[in-house]
Amino acid sequence: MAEEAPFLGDQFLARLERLRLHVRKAQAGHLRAERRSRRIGSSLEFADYRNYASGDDPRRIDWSIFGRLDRLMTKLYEEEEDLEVTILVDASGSMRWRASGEDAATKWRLARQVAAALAYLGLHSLDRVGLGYFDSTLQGESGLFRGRRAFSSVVQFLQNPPALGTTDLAESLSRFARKSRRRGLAIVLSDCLDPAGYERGLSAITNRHFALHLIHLLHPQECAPAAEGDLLLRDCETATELPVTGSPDLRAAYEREVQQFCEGLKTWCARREAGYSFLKTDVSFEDAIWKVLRQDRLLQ
Amino acid sequence: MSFFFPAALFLSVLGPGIIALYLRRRRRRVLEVSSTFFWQRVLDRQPNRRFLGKLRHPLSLLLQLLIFVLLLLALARPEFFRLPGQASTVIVLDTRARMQAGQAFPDALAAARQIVAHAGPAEEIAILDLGGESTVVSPFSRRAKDLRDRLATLTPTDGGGEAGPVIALAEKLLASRPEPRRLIVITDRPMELPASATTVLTGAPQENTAILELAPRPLPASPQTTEVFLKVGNFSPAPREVEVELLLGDRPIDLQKLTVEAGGQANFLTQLPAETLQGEERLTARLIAPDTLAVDNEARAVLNAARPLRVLLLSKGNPFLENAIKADPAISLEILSPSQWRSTMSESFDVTVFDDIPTTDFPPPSNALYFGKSPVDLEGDPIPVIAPETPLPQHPLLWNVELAQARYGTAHRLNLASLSGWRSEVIAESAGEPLLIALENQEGRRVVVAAWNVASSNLALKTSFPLFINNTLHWLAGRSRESGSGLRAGDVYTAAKHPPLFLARNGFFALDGGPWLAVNTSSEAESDLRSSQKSTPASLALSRFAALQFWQWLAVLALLLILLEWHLHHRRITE
Repeated sequence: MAEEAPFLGDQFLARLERLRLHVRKAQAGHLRAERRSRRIGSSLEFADYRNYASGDDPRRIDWSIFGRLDRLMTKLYEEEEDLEVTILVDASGSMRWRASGEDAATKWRLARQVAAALAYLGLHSLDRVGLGYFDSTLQGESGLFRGRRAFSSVVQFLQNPPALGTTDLAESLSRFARKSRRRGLAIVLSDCLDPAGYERGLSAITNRHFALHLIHLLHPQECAPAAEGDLLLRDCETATELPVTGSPDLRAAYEREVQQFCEGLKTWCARREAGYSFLKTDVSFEDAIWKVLRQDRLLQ
Repeated sequence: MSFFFPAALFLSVLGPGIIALYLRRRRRRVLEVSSTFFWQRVLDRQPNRRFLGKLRHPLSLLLQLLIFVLLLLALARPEFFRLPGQASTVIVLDTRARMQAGQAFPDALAAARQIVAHAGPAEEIAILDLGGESTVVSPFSRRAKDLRDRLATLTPTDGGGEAGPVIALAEKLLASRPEPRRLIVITDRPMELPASATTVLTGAPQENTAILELAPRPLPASPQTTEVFLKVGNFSPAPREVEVELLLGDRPIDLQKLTVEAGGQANFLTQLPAETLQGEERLTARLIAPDTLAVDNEARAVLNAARPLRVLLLSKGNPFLENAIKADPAISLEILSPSQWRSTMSESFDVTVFDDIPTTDFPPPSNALYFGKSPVDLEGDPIPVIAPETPLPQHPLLWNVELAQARYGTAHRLNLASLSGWRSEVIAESAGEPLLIALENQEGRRVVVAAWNVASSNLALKTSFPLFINNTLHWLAGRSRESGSGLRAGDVYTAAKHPPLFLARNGFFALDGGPWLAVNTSSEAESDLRSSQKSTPASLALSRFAALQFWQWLAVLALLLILLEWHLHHRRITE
């Protein structure tokens, strides 16, 4: 397994198996598995009572209630099914932007590492895991994988990203929501740097009753830029240019703007009962998994 | 307003050049970012920032044009507020000891420099030193550099001094000058001045403790032992506990703790046995009490017991006179009969006493005391002495002496007119005839002539006689001055065989072939800093820096603006 996972090491995967994906609300599954379902089934977890009807298994009649109330009540149990986990990775130009002085796009690498780790956790829990890239539209979907053996396919998918594009969260995520037949957990990894806003795209997912978790990634230079002097800022996605004279006041205003944006995003997610995690790329991958995502209750 | 160098204004043609250079804008540095999303939102949210951003370059241009104008004006040297025409100013700068306290003297110098700096082109300034050796520091001059150089030579002395003569001299100097004229006194204490004078006060009330007096003397009961009297003054509103250390040479011999009441004085008396002295003549008292005026925390004295006064008595035998001289243990007496005496012998003695011995002239170079016959006798019969009078009762010869209580019989008539080259004082007289005279010539030689004969007077039976002999011998020997007691910094020291010496500094000084001199501040007026005042603190603080001319201020302002522009540029505010 380790040879097939260039993002993750063997020891890390072994440790990762101690975690599992956490879903805030139970979702109906397709196959029997280990995850609690909204359906009534045959697991050992008690769910409810109902009046006995002819044809019910007499082994499920609660005889103690019959003794007290002289009524036949049948015990119902929860069903344990699998979960459909979709991991959507923002593959736009801003995600693949390389900061000055860095030889790799740290935001892009961290996003794919996290996606691989989450996919591995889903496969390990016998969930059906699908991956997808998006930028201005839904660029590629991997199909659904099940079982740990499929992890190599996950890695292969992540190693073959689509061409660079611009960000359009509304179009790409709406497209995903429309296409999906079955509800489940949708994990979106994005920097959300869409001038048109993130609300429409994310709403499209939550409106289809997906359990949404947004992993928001930003580079430290995006949070606190070191821009000084007369600069011509060039957008790496659109190539638009913006003349700016960097000064301490302007940088402080920029930092406040970023902070407000992140807080707004977090508040929006909370209102929609969606999970939110903020990852600055100067945190290590291990800390992102073991600290941030656990703290934000995506993993437990 | 006028310009000293108006040609510099032609450099203003460079102004458009600065503007032209400024119009050349620098190319912006291209920086690729992940998104201009946040930047755009910041700029959209703060529309004023765009406007201010446009103003940054004009702000920088404005600063640089202002710097250019200031430098231009500095070169052109504008002149304001100067006295017109042939103005005259006398600056009296106080250099007395208490100016050493705190910032009084640096402030005074700064104030004087400021006056010099702001003098008009035709204004002449003279500088007088109040307290220094030479009163006129600089005669009238309009050369600011010379005046500043002369001011730089001034330092506060360790002594005091009277302001009156210096102020009078300043008025005298100004009296012969045309109007307008100014008299400016820079000092630390208020003083009575002519109405036309301006006072600049640079002192500040401060607490101080000082040694006011240090006086050693042989103990009467045991002349080999020296008794030391010390007086300490506390010029502060609270009692102070001070320590006084006594040193013989460099050797500490005593340490005493004294408590001095607020505004009061404390006396301290101690004895130094002969074995303690070990031949050392220099005694120092040191006050261990940190204050702002250090000069009065130390006092010095020379011990008299080290060298006796050598007296030669020429007498046919006079036990009264011999015993009166011997009564002072500090006197070494030798007695000769008139037949044994040669005039050259007197060179080895401080004083020669002639007991009714006829001589024709005063024996050079010794000092002499004559009883009865003397070289100034007038021919004729002796005159009767009736009710002697003392025109100079405070003279050192008459300290604790009552000449009028004795009977003298007759006395020789003295011919004062024959004394050419001698300054004479009549100490006692009878019926208009001089009975006792004190003489001193320009070389410092002293002679006392008592016109009566010791043997014919009952003065020798009185207690005044040994006192009179002692006073006279010490006055003749100049001991009261040469002993070192009572010498104060700021005084002029005059002694036999030595030219006058201005005592500017405290300390021990050895004259050629003479005794040690001990000079101290010993002045309540100099030590009491409670009366010090400051004119206006703000203006004085400013005056330390205000000794610059207007064009220099312009240059300083331009420099500050250059620093501001540099700061703004590096803070990316004006880039």
